[in-house]
Amino acid sequence: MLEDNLLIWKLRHGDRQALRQIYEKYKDELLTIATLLLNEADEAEDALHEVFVFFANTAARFRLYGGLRNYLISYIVNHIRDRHRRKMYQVVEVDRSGQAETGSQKTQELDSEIEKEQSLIESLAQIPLQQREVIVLHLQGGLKFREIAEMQDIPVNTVRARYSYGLDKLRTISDGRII
Amino acid sequence: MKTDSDNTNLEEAIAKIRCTTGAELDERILSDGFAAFDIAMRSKHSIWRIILKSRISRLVIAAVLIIGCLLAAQLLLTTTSETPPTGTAERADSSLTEALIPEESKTEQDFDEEATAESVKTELKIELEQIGDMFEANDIEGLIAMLSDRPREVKLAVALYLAKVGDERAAETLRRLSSVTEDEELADIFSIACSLIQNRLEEAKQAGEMKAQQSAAIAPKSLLTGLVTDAETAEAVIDADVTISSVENYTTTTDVNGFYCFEDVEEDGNYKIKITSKEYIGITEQEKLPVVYLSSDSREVKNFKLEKACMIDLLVMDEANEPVSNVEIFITNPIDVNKIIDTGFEQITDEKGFLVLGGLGRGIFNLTAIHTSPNVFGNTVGILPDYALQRVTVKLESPNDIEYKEIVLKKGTEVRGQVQFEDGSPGSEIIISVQPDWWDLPFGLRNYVADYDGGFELENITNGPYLIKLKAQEDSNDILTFEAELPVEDEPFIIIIPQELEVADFNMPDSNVPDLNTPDINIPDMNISDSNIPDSNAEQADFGL
Repeated sequence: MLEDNLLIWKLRHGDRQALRQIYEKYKDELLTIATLLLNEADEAEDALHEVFVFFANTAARFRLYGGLRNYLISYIVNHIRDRHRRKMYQVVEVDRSGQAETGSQKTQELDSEIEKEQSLIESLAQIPLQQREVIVLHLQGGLKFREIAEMQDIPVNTVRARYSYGLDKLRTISDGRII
Repeated sequence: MKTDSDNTNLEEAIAKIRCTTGAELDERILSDGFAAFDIAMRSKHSIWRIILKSRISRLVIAAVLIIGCLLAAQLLLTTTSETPPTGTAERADSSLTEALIPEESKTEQDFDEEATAESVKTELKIELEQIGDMFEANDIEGLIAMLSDRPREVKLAVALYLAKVGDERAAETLRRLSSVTEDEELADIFSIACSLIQNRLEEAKQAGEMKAQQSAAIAPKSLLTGLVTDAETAEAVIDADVTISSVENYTTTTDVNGFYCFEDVEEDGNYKIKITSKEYIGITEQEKLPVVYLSSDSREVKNFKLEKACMIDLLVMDEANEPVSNVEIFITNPIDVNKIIDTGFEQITDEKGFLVLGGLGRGIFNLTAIHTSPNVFGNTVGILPDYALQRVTVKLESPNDIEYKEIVLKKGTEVRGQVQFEDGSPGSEIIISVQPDWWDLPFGLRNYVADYDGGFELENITNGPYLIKLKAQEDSNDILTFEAELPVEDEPFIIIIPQELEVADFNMPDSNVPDLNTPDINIPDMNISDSNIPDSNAEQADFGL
């Protein structure tokens, strides 16, 4: 938190290096969240791109009231939600970034662990976005239910219910393929 | 069956997933990010330019300057009349002290104070900048938060900004602060800002009412028209169902302006008007429904103001945490028992076990869940639940929050028993009704009928006290009532009843008391009312008939 405050302070004073440090620090985490919510590598990368460029654009006047990490997570989730509203999302086969090979060749070479992960991401895409958000924010973003409730402006019990119900649904969809 | 371990594995699997960006993506994002950052830095306005852009900002600065001058004058008078003791750390306004002390006479302490004053000034500048940002972002809650534990100048600036925005929460906070702030000038500013906000709110309310009236004015002249609006804000109540009923029922829905109209009715006569909405407390109680006479030449206008309702987000699950659909929820008020609250909506859980209950006022409510399988009523009267009856109590305090509640339906167990007369003969075809002691709905449950041997099987019984009623005939008004803790430890559950029940006459003479001390009997509390039976053999005999 202290480090983030320092980075923001530097950023406000025009330090480009601070911008790079913030990007390096949070890029993978944000990309993972975006991928789990979107189930599409290209769209997840686009989301990361848009969020970061927006952040850079507002950095000169940026004020950190809470944690930078939560701010960025909140922003990317809202961005994805807006995107989701704008178009009907279609489930497509995930193409994980950072993996050079694609298509059937890649699938053949994935070990069982990767296959399970891919299966899990695909299963996640089948549960409602609201439940998916809570699950991803809690498990990947490490946010507490209370923090998610504040972020989404909903009662904390609703968050708990979405989480529990989403996990149950996910377990049903995955049907033993993951666990 | 789901296990905790299943969920833990699933959670761990999700948490373990990691995606990483490629070098190409990093380069693209950083390149665009730096470009955006450079543009943003170049166009970064100074705080003073931002503040001077708006009239309200200029007012803020003027106010701060005036207060500063007043403080300076006050301090000048103080310093000329009495010299502070040398070497003390006492300090008034540091910026003003700086102006009053000659440069050559400044001590090390003075220079420290100068540095502190500079720091305070910078902080103040940052805070004012922050206020401007919050104002632009319409962050009312943030601005309200800045009214506490901040420098006087900041509070003043925030108050003036809030006066510009106009918000009920801000008005309330300013009203409260104006009465508790010791600084009279600041209290006056708070009070003025509060008045300005209230004026704005009143104007907005009037504008809303005018808009609604205009909608009504341009509406076609129908038999019955009107507006349904929020009692507090005068905003339109959208999607409320308006039903008029006499011989026939007619229903319409309010539009975006809260407007409704009925063009025609088949028969002239008095019609009751019912309004239902989940977000607002409707007009649903039969005895309180307004009545209007409608005929072919009627041109009635009826407007309604509704108060915001409390809502409940309800999830009904079974013991395996699977959602249970088609569960009917009955709402009752613990104070006004035996009266089901009619919200005007069908209250049945959807395929995901969810149901949003709305249209409720503040208060405590009991929600009773009954799930019945179709066509299971058989040859007896009443409800046969296929889960144990379940009830939760919910307290609704604010229309702004949706209360979340869960009901877990349990299957319960079967309780086998036998009805016997005092002489040991079986209580054939005695009718038995069983309901939890908390039952407060104005209808009964399914009756069980003892078989030829007096045997019976109660279904879906969970641990707890039950009220058991026995009668000889379906239409008999004489009912033998007692309480029992179910399920019993040792089955069968033997109920010994007076011989008189055999002739279906429950008016037992005082001399005949059921032998409740029989070893087979497992009834902790047996009641037969209105029979004046003395407490002879029974340990807890309080009979009700």
